[in-house]
Amino acid sequence: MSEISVASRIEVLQAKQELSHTKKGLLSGVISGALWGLDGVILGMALAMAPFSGGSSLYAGPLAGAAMHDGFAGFWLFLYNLFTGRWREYGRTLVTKPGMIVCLASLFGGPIAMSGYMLGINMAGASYALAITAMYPAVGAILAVFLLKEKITPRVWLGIILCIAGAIIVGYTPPEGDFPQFYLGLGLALLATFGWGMEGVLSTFGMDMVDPDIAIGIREAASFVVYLIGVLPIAAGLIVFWDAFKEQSLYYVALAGLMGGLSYLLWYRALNMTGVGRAMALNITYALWAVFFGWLLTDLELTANLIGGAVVITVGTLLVVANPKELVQLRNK
Amino acid sequence: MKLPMRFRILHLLSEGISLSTAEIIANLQSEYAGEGQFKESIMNLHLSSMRAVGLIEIIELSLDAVGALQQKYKITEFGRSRLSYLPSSWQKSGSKVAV
Repeated sequence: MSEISVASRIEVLQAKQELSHTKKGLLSGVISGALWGLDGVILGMALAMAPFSGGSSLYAGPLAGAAMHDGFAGFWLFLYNLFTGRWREYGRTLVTKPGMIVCLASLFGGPIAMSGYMLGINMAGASYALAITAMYPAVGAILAVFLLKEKITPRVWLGIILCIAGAIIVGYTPPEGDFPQFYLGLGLALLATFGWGMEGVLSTFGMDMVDPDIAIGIREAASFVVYLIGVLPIAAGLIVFWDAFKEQSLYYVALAGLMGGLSYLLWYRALNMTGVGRAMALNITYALWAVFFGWLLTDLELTANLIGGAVVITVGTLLVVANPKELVQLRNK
Repeated sequence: MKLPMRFRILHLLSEGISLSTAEIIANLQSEYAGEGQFKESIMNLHLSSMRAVGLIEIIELSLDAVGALQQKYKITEFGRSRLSYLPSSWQKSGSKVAV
């Protein structure tokens, strides 16, 4: 082979390998959104059953369900890491600073954001709380630009905004009811938005040096432990939690945990491989997938705002995933 | 105590020499052999991700005897700054790098 043909073959092979890596990351993000939508539908079915539909406080059932979901997700992920020969990395990673940063990310994304989300819906109504929390990809992307020096082009920003707008349209319900603690509810919804944004940035920072498959295993396990020790006792959720082991809904939560674990696994890989801005925009496409799976598995009716929102999300997603070559270097030096 | 895999790769590359995937595997064989994660496909995934975030860079590309792409990686300044996250015992230690 001549020197020129060797050089051009090297160039072609290198470009192919780089593109393969970035495409895997984008595909992981898209599938993570789909699985999160399916997870939400299955978890919703479980939460409508005993014992989650009861409980001595309004939040006991949903929080116990969220705790069990993360517990099952952590368990399935541990099995996955056991069978792929990574299990020793748990202990090695937990004694490092990046490992502790992943634990901190799990606090923001798990108990803090999820509790803020539920309280926000209760105090300010679903219309406002869902619209505010749907903005977490923008918060994550802004934090990533400043904290991680992530490169986000104007086209990707537009894609992120469209994905958020689509999620708001899909989740929109006309405001109704009386909310005496309305502004506190808005504040808690904002806390949830910030929590999910921070989770993405902190975990991505940690995953520079931590295997994403281990990072998400730690994230789910840490979230479960904090729910069990710090959140459920306050929300009177421990009784619901233990009662669930005697009910059929346990199988639904276990299945939702499997879908959630897989979704998070792929989402953390996407965060590591494509950056916070893109991965979060792809993750929020769950709103689109939740409509599809809700229509398929439950009696959800397709309305004009569901279809309109789905179209907007699809356009946003296409803008986010276009030109994977941008992902060869994720950050400004 | 052994380091998590990515930490160990970064530490290995901090010892002043550029290495290919095969050379990194050869250097870490004695420490991680027998672990299911210790294989070329996972090693390549780590290296691609570490490169995308700027911890390491490619400084040499070539073709091997069968025409497959060979890349040599080197730690960047940003990667060196992250060595501060290594446990203190690893920050001082050095190991012999085989090429």
